[in-house]
Amino acid sequence: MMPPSRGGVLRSLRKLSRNPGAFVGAWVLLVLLVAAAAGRSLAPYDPNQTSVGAQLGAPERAHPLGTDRYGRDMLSRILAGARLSLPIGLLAVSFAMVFGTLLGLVTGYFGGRVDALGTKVIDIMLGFPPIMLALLIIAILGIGISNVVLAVGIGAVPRFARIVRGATISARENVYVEAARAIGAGPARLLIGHILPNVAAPIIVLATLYTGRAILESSALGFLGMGVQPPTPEWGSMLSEGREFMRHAWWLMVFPGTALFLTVVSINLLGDFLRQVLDPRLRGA
Amino acid sequence: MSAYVLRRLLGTVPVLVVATTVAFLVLQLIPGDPVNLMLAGVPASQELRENLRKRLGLDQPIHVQYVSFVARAARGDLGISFRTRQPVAQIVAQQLPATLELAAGGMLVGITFGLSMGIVAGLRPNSPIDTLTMLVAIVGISIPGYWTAMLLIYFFGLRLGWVPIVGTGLPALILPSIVVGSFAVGDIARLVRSSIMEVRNEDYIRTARSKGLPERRVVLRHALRNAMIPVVTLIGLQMGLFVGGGVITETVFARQGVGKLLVDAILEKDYPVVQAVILLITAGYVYANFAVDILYSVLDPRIRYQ
Repeated sequence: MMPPSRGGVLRSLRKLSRNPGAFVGAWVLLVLLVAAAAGRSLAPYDPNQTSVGAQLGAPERAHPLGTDRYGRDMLSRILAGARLSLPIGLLAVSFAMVFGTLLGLVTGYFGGRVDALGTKVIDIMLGFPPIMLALLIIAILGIGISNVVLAVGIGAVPRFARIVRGATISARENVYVEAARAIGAGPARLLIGHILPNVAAPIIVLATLYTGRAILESSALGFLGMGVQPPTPEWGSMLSEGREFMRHAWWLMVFPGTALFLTVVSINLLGDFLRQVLDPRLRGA
Repeated sequence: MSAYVLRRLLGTVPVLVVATTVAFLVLQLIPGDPVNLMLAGVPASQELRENLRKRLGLDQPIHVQYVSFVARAARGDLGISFRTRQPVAQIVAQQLPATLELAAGGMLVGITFGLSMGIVAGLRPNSPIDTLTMLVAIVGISIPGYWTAMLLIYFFGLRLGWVPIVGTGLPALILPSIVVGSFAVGDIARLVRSSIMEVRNEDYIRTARSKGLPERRVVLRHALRNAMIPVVTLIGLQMGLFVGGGVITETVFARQGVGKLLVDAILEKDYPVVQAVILLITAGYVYANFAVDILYSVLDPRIRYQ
């Protein structure tokens, strides 16, 4: 499948406006991205600024989303959290996309022993429950933001590899690949210049759908105390704090969770839409 | 059939070998000396350290350590916890029933709700219940499981007081099961819906209808049975969700279980326990999928001959 032309983009945008779910998703995501980008100037307070006397304050005019146990403003912390949760998810997916695509391209293109070995690696990685793989990597590498990116990213590599391998196998038989090979193009040029653009659609779809999952998984690691460490505001670790004060301060658990849920649901609505537009083969998959 | 079972059984070996190797490597790859971790900062003489090292077999070359690790693991000896000094196998065995209970509860919830919503939606596409099913599906994959758990605890446990949020027994299992099951409801419902939509116009369904069978029977005996094949596979793939769901859910509900044991062990750097749980969960996952594969081939004999 070719990447959409300019006319195709316009058509896709028109389709987007007719798909209510994707339309809402796109808007919510846009607002979240702008809020995350402009977080510092939008936020009424410094996210780490504590305030004696304002601890565990319910939502009111000065603090629309309330304050936490140190009197820090929840709205400011949630905005700051967006600047962390979104990039962590995106980085993890990018990692998985790059390595998964490479693995898939190479195994699918060369076939034979390379493919047998690559497929075995993919199967073995898929044999581990995803959260286990992430926890295992954290257990070995230790707690921290970059390790969360790796832990979540590595778990998604085999999923990308499997899709790309399949797409590559069918793309390599195409006439234009044969033509390029006939005029002397080497494997690297064939893979990057001719096959990759033609397997791009399923990669984009999978990457979108996986971004939501990666954000959820990394926030879960934060919630378990294995990701971003306090006082840095991250949605997962904020929710872990919310759990402690659930009885007295519902806002600590409701607002960060809502932010996380809205982000992921809009990414998923958009991903579902992309799947329908870009890749009819994946429909209903 | 037995050739197929054997082939599938052999297929599980590489994953187990890798899992064992990875579990073994955990102790080799962590930064720092395991003996220090075991002593947990307690001052000890050099002699005591050397003795401990010898007793743990850490003075042996790495391949000897590996062979002895595998041999001991095969006998069910998974070492001693750094923290509690209890045999790890014993600790894990104590936590296992609670986890199995939760996984079973979660599967029950996921399959019951997923199947019924999928059937109704598939029989009446584009109806309000169909829209609701699709909405539940997309919410299901987008909502953080631990947040669902917290909201349920808050409303049904703290506010309404309908169910206990801690403790053991069936009532305390309700909310955690809903959480673990909710991970799978959307996916199952979506798949059942599309399977039912696919088969509902088949000739054998029309035949069943035209010979005057009641609708219930047509759906349950004819449509659902054929729609179940992909669903069973999906449930197999969902095992990871039930396992992973356990890790998070047990922590939120402060329940006993293997998942919580793993999280605590990682945070406390109790590596022998980490090794044991990795082995156990991976093996459980692999054999659950193996069982699903066999069930799959019973439902659809064509699979066996591929």
